Amino acid sequence: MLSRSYDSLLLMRQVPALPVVGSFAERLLAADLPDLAPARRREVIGFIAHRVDHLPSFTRFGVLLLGSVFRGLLAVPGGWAVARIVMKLPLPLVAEYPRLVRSLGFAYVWEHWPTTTPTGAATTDAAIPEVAA
Amino acid sequence: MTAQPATAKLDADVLVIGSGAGGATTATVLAEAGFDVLVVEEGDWVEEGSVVPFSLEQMDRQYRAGGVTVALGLPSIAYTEGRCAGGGTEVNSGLYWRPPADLLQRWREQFQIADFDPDELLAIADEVERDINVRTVPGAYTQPSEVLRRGADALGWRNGEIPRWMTYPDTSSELKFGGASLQGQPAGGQRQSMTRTYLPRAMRAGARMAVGCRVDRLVERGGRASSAETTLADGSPGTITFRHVFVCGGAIQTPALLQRSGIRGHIGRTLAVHPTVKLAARFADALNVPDDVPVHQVKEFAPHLSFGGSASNPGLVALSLLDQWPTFKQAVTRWQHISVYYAAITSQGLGRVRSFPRMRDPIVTYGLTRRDRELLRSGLGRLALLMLEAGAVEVYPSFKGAPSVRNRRDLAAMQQAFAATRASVMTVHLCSTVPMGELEGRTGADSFGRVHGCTNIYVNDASLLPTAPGVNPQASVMAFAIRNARRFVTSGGRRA
Repeated sequence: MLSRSYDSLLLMRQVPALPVVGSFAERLLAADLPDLAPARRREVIGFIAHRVDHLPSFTRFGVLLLGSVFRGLLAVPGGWAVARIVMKLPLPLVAEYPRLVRSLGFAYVWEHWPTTTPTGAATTDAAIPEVAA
Repeated sequence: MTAQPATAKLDADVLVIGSGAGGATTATVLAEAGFDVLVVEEGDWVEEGSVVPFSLEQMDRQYRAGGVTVALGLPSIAYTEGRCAGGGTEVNSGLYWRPPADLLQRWREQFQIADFDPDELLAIADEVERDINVRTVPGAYTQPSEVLRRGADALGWRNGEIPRWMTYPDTSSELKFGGASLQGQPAGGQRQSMTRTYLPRAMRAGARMAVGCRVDRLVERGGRASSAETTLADGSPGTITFRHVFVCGGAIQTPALLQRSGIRGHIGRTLAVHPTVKLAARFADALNVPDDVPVHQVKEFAPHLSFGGSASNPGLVALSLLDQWPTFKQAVTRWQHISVYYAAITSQGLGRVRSFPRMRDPIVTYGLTRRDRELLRSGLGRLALLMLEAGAVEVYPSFKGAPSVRNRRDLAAMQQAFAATRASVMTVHLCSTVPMGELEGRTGADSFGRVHGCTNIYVNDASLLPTAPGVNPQASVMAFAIRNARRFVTSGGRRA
């Protein structure tokens, strides 16, 4: 719950993060970790949304604003292709959004399932290919 | 002995806001001097050992905003703040470095800190070191720590073990770290953070402690505060009345609270940090220690540049590879062979903490100077060289567009490709937002932490340090907090 009068001007404080960042996180994880099992992906997205919900006021406001823009992009045909181009542009604050989502997602995946392959597949140590020495 | 949940109406002779290195020591000195002390803490009391160090769960339970806090800038700098009983002392690595004597002299002269004898402060540091059991590791070092020592020795660079606030059992033995058995690491070592040292001591002396209590605003008129508006863990409002208040919320929350309370002056304008860049280094043999950090640091280029080791659980290894994931991603499968290291600089840049009406959290900004960016570049290059000398098979610098480094020839390409704006820059050392001293225009509090223009509002945490000390600041924070609290006591509690 929020303190009485503080943050009352930030109406977005009342907006849950999951509907805003969920679709973008889903697409990003599907692209980066295509073999991540759907159940795991849902768990990771839930974690990302939880963390966004607890960001400091201004950061959360900015993240949800950017999230809304990306969400809108994803709602139109070809939107993901445009989003990928935008993500590659050297736009300081815009670039922070996919970086945040990726950081949270990757940290969660490898902390909880450390034998995950680079494509997101669940595996055991024995099945992981060696890195060239 | 632990704290109690806060209630709607509380009162105390002295209110201490925050329970970290500054708040816990302040409360101890005042309670032992007979004052009626109430410590309030926004977070919970989390018993040491009940969460895995450096895990996401720990970030959820003991860090502000789950550890996702950032100072905006080019580049933005990620930082972390403890938000639990004991504050940052509960979540950091426990490495201890007393303030350098020459730095104390400079602070005294440049900021006109009155009645300040550096020798007196170092004598307090002696006491602190006994109280929190500052000592070196009794057994062998972990492999990630040995890497720093080995690489620095090969290059002839000054390095050494940094002592920690720890207790160890008498006999060294094997300790299981994530399935890896590490010879010589004493089993059952316990960090002597504030919840194990000063906070219980303060409570034994009569101090009360309330957790789950956020202070939104001090009610102040004419430079005198009489009460605090609070929000309890369930969201309900509360009030605390007091005669004196010590604000010890750390270098971000302390100036933010003062600003929200309408207190003007040199507050929040000179945030100083130690920006760091990092890399992951892969070795032929497994060495990763998921829940501890190396105790060695390399000080050859100090105070401008230092090298050390970071937490390196698999999630953090993945994070360190993230900036160049398409080419580095295969390395994550060998996380047991990888450890993460950092290069930290003493920055010439400055940041700001700004609060706005009716906004819960402040906006934090930080600007690196050109010299800072160059220092980060050379620091990362030198750190990569050190890793190669220590036997690293491959080094993965954490910036977008980074090439991996396998030999000395790759170093030039790496440094050429580096840009601070593309790097994952972070810091855990935040200070100097209410600098102490008598120098008009450059200090926010007097020589003993009383906020300029106020009669009963004191700051006693990292905010007071005039500049970033170039070393872990918590030893300095504790020593200054004890000095200032003792002055408060000997001056009769400034009973106005």
